[in-house]
Amino acid sequence: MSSPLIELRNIKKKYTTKAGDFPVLKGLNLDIEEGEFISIMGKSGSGKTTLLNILGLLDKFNEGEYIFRGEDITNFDENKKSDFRNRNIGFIFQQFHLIESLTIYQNIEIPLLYRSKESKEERKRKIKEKLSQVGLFEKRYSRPFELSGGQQQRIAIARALVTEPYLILADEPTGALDSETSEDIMELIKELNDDGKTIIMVTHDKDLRRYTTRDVFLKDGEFSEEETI
Amino acid sequence: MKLYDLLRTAWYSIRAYKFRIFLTMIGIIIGIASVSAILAIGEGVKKEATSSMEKSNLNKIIVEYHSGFESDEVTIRPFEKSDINEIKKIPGVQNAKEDDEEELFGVSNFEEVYYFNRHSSTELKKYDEKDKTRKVFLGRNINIIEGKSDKRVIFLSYRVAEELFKEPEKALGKAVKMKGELFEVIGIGEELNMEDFEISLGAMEEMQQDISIVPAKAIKEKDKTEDYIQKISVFLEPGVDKDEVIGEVKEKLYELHPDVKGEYEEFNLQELIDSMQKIISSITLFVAFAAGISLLVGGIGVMNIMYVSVTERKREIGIRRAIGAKPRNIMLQFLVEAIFITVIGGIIGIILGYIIAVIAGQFMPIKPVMTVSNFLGASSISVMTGLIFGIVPASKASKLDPIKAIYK
Repeated sequence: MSSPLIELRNIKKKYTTKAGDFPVLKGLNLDIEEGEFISIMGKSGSGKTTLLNILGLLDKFNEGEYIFRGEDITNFDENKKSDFRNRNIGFIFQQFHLIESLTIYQNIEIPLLYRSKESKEERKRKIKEKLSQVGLFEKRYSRPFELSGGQQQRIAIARALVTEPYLILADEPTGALDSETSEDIMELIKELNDDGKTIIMVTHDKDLRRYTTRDVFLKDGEFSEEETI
Repeated sequence: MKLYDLLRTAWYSIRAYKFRIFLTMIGIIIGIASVSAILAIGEGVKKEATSSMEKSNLNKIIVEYHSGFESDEVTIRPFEKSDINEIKKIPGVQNAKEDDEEELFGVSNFEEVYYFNRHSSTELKKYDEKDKTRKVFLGRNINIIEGKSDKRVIFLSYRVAEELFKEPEKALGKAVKMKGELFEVIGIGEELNMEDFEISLGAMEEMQQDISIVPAKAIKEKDKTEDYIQKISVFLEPGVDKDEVIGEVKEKLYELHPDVKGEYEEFNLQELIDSMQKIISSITLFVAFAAGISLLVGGIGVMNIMYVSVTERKREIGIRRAIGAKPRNIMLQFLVEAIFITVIGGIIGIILGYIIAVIAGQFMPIKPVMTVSNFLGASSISVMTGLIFGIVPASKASKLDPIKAIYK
């Protein structure tokens, strides 16, 4: 059996304040296999978003090891982290986080520009492909504010996919959407998983468990056996 | 990130905040416009001054004779036609001829004037009907009929009249000697008021008052008939040591004229042009530097707007970092944005400055000149301004923690 996509070993993180240290994650161990669709669930303050940000190399941790496809990436510097995120990870945020001053097309183009790997034609082809996949190719010249929340989240998904990452990290992807739109988005994310993408999603919505292959529960910075929602 | 994409990214951001960027740009436009207007005017002054001098060859050196205060020198002929041939033989001399150029910088020749044992020298100009008539102290100006004739009359400047006659009013109707000929004084110019020199625009006109005038043909014909040579122009071969060759020329002249008591002196145009250009350049630079202070204010405006921009676009920075931008990419993006503002402002400023200079040129006796080096200079000042005032905000942007920037 090949090594897992992600191995977290004894990850600890604390916030240091004047009042003293405040532990957020208390030594987490987690293996994630390629092709899984995992939800990280927990109450507010349980540390689930912090864990997701650590997985995405956006946040730092104080102790432990992070091994990605067999490579120890614990001590990457900022530049390597940036490269790593660009190559391996697609982010989907609760608030979509598209750049308002750019068109849809330009928004999806950004991650490709930061690695200057593809030619203009290749970029065009890839962007077209991903926009078609989320069903919004005709909106390519629009601006984010001209689209509905659901449409913006689809664009964000296209942006996450355009670099062909191993891993999609989704932070409450339906948190800002109504239930009907949420379902559309979840269907879309499920399809990605069906095509083989590994997805880690943070949510506190129990209903979303029907899409996932595995759920982990966080309580006060530790994994918990009980379903803590 | 490729340069083209970097520029494109910066351009999109600038377009998104057109109005406030334009407001920021005004500071840069004013700064660069004033600097380039002053440079263009300075260059125009330099060119004007130089071109009036450069009508003559730069390898040409004029050798003159200065008689000193010996009144009987009028009988001495400091140059002979044969001298010219002798001078031509000196190594390093390309050519030599009688200098017949009437005017240098629009000013006439110097001429010695005698009244019995008194003597003075005056700038002498030939009558030209296009010239303004002089303000008269006593007598009258030379009229047009006399002016075109060879009649031996002279309109003396006040200073010369005073030097020759002690009381200038006594000069009228007397005869003065010049180049061995007698000229009747028919008019005396008004006294030169030294205080007026301070009003620079009036100065040129006032200085004209110290010039004496004779009819157009009164002197030229005399020159021809008598073969009287006042000056010799020596043309040097390119690349030779000027001082050395001219030294030899002078030595030769003293040798040929052992009886002269005065001195042969050279008039080197190049030196005069050089020092004059230097003076104009440094004045221009100083004034341009003073004008550049407005550019400093503009630059601080750019820095301010970039700070606002970084704070306002924290989330964008965070998103970009999350999807793969390195700190360097963020830094460059904001730096290029700042440079964009100053360069666009700079280009508008250069054009505006040139227009201002051209308009100003309508009211001044010079034509402003935009040189390539001034254009490049002003352009690189704009780039530098963007760089200097953009680097601090840009580096702040690049150091933002992505996680804090996203969830600000």
